[in-house]
Amino acid sequence: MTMASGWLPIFVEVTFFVCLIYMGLLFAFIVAMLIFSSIESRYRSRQQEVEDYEGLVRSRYMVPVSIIACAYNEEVMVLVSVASLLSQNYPEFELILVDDGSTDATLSLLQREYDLQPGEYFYRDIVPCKPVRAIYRSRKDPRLVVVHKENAGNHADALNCGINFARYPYFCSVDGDTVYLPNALLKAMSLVATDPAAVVGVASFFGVSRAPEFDERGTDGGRTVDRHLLSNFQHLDLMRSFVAYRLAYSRLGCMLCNPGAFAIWRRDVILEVGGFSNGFSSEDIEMTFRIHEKFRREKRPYRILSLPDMVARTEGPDSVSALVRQRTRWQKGMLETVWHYRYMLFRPRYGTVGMIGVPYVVIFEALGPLMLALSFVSLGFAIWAQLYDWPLYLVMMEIVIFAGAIPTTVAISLHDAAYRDYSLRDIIRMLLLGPLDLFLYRPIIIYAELRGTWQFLRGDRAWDKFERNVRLANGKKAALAP
Amino acid sequence: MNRLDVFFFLFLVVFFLWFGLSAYVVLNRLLHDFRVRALCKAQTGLGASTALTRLSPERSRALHGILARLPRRVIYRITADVSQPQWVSQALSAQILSRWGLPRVLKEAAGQDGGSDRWRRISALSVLTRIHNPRIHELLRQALAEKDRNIAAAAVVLLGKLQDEKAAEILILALREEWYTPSRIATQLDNFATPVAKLLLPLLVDPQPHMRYWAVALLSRYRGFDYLAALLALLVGDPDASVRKAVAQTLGIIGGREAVSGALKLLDDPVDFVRANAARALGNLAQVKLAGSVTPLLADREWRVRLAAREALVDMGPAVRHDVTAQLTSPDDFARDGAAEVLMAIQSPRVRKQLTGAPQWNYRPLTRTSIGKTRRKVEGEVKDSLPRFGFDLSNSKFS
Repeated sequence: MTMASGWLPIFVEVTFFVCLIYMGLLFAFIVAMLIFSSIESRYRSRQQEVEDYEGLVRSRYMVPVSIIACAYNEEVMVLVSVASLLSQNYPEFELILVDDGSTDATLSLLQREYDLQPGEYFYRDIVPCKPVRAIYRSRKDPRLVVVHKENAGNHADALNCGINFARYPYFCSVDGDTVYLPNALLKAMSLVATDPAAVVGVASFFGVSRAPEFDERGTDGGRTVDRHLLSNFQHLDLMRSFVAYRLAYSRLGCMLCNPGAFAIWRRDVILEVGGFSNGFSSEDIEMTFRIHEKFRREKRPYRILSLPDMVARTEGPDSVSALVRQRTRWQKGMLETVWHYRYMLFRPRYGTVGMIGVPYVVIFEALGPLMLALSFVSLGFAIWAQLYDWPLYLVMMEIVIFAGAIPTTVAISLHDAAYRDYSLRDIIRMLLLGPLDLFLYRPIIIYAELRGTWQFLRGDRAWDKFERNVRLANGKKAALAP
Repeated sequence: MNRLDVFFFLFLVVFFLWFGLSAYVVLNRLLHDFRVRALCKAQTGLGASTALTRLSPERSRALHGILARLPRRVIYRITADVSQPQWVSQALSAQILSRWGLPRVLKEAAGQDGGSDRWRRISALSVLTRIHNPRIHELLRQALAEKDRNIAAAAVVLLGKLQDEKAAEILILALREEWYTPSRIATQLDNFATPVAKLLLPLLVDPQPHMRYWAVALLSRYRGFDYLAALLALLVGDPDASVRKAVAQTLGIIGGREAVSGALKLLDDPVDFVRANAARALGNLAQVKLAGSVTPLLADREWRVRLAAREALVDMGPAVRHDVTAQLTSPDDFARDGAAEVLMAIQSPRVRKQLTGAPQWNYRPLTRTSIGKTRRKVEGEVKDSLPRFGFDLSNSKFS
């Protein structure tokens, strides 16, 4: 049966060429980004090799930092996370943990472990946030202050509360479910110390694991990747994002997301723009856009940098439904921000942000799911109308599979060339997972992105946090085996 | 060629690109692991981190045999890496000098080799620093004055490694000329094992305020230096506020009679951050008898001064109770709030720890029971006195 008559063949043919041009543009853009990332990665790793970190750790002149950790119902991870933060190899810092009205044992665990003493402490209500219920200082480690506040249903409010308590010129926003490596702060702040007048933000790569509290080291001492497939794909996704793309954006001066899991910000800049906004699902993207917009418009010198170093391991969802919820929120947050700052698109006054960063986000991230939906619809029609040339389709599919794996391979290559921390076996595993991404991981992400787009179009602003991965009472990682 | 052929060709290109890249990653890693194993073998053979100069000729030849197989790019890169063990850097430096010769390394270090590779220049400078070449100071001075911030940064670190007076002089010159971020230069000067105080003292009367600032800040390391506090106390009238702030901080570290009187003068400074640092200095010096001079700052018009006063009084310990309690009747809201916060804080275990950790006291040592009694007494007194002064603990709000 042939339906190849009338508008359908034209629709299929036009869609085919539109998608082809779109893919061609995307790959051309990716290749350009990979070249810039390679240059930046090499530059940063060489810069780090000649940096005197030992001297910086002992220095009295390093800029002190306020670490702001936000925790909402983080009883599983909070103690490990706080311990990793207090063990930072950095001369002077304070840790402000904002308990965002947790209903589980987060606060009591902290009270027990750190011998928290309630009291009244000085702070300034500079940026708006929900009322503070209690303030505690640790008797065990006076650098730790725990602020217990009313829940506002979003991360921005907790961050703003932490900023009100922060005393140092820079703050580092971190998550209560993430374990930080001892030199995380030092590596990021060494860049700030080199040029504190210009550097207003620093991001760095963090990996994903189902249970980040377990130090994943192999018998040879090398870092290992989680054996869970979904975690592997998420880890590769972040590695691709940070090492293969964000380094390029950082070099070009258009890094558009300083992610909340590890983001250093200059406090005066955040106060100047009025603190984090709770009107967006992803406050970190919005803040990065806002700072770019303001500084570019006012023609003020500034830099937001991204580093290739792995500074932390965060908990990634270990079930498809949880991953979908998380990525739906990310997509929604990105769309809300892009829509809000749409006037920056192709505006030369915003420099590389307006001419490269925002166009990429709009064309390939915001419209990406819609293009995919269009291609699937076209594919469906073509199959139904027997218009499809199957050999051609399979060859194209193969092209997409391996072309899509190239950024992953480049990211692994850049990371390994700079740090040599993963064992060879894990590197091979990650390389082989690259081509499987399109079948095993990408469909989940596409679905989540379409869902996020739909929720954005409906005006849904709910903040959906994924449930923590299940652990056994004895904390054994074996319990997490799929 | 039809459409299928074109796409099949494209597929082959993409596939081999992916395969080639993946193979490169694996082979590159294998090569790296092989080199690391060879270096580890050399280290084991040498008996841990023995300096190359002390090696027997036979061992030295064996090590150079391994290093000779490494390409120039790798040797230069590892040489510049400050995290490498000393013996690796020494061996590689010797290797570079024997393979490519000193004249070439000197040219590279001076940036006169015709190439524009900043990293090669940094490696060459590292080699010359390690062997203490007579020209290294001049080369590092030139590098520090470079516009390229990476070369300047490396020069700062390498001068810090030289640890001699000439290197300190160049770093001070760099501070004056603002060739690089001052705090990074100060970090290296601060970590000098050899004293550089005699180079810093003349800077106290330097016409440039930033030089006076750094001189005062860096001198805080030289606590035992005669007349230092007296010299610094003279700078309390410096026209530059940042210098006065540094004076307050340094006086708070070095201590002494002049330090106390200097810090006291700065409590009345017109600039808020100077007053704040003066209060903190008195807190650091734990001058309890001066608590009465700090307590008025609880009502200062600037929040940072009020905060510093609170912290300073807490640092002075429970003996400030009398002076602080008097502030509970102050007409100023900030003073009353601040006093209440201080009184609550001075019952903290930090104070208890301070009491138990005072071995020089020659009266009967405090026991756990007596400390508990004292604490309960102070706690009772404070809790009783707060409502008497119209302070409601349940609705207390600070600032």
